[in-house]
Amino acid sequence: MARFVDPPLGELMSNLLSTSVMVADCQTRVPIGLDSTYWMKKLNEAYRWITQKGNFIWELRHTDITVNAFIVSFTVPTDCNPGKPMYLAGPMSGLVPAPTLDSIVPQVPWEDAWIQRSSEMGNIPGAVSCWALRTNFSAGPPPVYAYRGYIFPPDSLTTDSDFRFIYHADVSSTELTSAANQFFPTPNCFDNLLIELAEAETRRIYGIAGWDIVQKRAESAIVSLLDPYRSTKNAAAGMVDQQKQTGERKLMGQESA
Amino acid sequence: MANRTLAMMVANVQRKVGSGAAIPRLDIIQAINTAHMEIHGAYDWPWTYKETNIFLNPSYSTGTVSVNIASNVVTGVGTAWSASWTNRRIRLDNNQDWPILSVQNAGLLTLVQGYHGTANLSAASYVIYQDVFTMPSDFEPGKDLVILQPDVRIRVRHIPRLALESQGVVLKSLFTNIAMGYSDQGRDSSGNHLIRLIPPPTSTNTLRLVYKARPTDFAALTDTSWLPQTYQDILELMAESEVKRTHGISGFDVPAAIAARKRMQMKRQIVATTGDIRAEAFGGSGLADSSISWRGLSILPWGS
Repeated sequence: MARFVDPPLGELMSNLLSTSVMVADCQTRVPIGLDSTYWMKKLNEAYRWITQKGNFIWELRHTDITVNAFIVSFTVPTDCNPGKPMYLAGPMSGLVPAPTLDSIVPQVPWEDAWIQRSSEMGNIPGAVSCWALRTNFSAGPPPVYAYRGYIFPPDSLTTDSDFRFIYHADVSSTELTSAANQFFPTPNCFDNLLIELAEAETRRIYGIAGWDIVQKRAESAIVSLLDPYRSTKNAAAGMVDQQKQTGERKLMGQESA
Repeated sequence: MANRTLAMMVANVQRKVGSGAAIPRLDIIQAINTAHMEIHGAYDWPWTYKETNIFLNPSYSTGTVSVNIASNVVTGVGTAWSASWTNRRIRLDNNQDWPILSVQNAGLLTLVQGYHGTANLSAASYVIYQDVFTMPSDFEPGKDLVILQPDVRIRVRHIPRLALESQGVVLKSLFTNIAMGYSDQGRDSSGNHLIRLIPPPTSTNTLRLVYKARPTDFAALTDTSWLPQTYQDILELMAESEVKRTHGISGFDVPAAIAARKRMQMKRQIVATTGDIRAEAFGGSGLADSSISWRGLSILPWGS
């Protein structure tokens, strides 16, 4: 569970360059009199650009939720990014008899979740099989509406039970401001790259030469840095896994033939 | 026996499959149950033996009965029938037996089919007897089954259904507590297996039943399997392989191969330690078989 750290937004992981220092650096690099509000906007844009590239450990948050018996739905935190992985762990308490199945409950698409309702194994107390996400439109229009998680099969939760919900926060919901005690959640090594991205974008907007060189340098550096910070880097997926599967199917085909 | 609970096994399989794959837990539990049943069906494992008794009830012929042709209602005078009687037949004056659907009260019962004798019966003699018995709900047909008579310590032989019917024609008036054979009789309304004895029992007695029980599916997170502790991880390996295979995840062949090797090892060990005992106890050499008695009374050849 070491990956599930919970950095408060704006304080971790960087502790080297505060946002005010970064703004000053930007103003030095492009000395055309742009104020700190402008530069923070560009720095926040650069940070969001990074978060688009994957799921990262600095986005992880957790909260404990209680799911009521037979109601089996819960409200997803409002700062949760619904497009990124979420983990429901538990049930951690409330169930009888112990021990409970205190591990990750997989999130699945709705069609898979619904199938679990009719499983012949569906009535084992505590054997929460999976959960699925949907928008709760009854709460009102954006930004009021919230996402809700639904646990399947419903009969598996016979008593009110506690779960831990781990998710990736939507960083765009809170922008940093220029201050001496504000730091981006990215590691220190990203600080200069954020500055370079903001610089390149500003140079491009104002038609100052050299923006493309700076941008390419920053983007290539950032992309190479992102992989170690992915929160899901242990998950097997992609082309390599598909090649393995193809190999196995060929092998099984030869055996059955 | 095994000490890993269902919760532990599910968590282990989840961990082996990997957190990156969203596998519903019920799919894992299903795979574990399938593996449990597959192992169970592969061999007559000694840990599945159970024993119970079959209680033989006395036949009953007190009072007289009346019934009309084509009617399935039989009324009794001077009778004390019980509504709790099940799996019984009534033998009427034409010496044919009619299965009883239910007994309403001490003087009224319903047949499965309408009476089809040559004439209406009035104040006629009769015999109600039970020759069909319900097997335990976890009894599994096709597995080893031993029915022993405590009185004479012989094994009641399983005979083909046609042989039972054929002998029943000849021995229809014979009642004895020394059962000479039994045959399969389908299932009751609860799905339990039924057997039928021949000749029908005549008085209170008890038969010993030794059978192979079928493990039930896991129904609670605290349930454990019937496997020996040494080999309990076979279930996890088989479930891991099945889950990976059905969800298109690579690496399903390795746990399957390991599980197959361990199953073979388990079987070899079980056969080595229990094979001779089984042969003596249930193979026929250690205890007399009731077929000897049966052949002594046999009128029709076997299988006729």
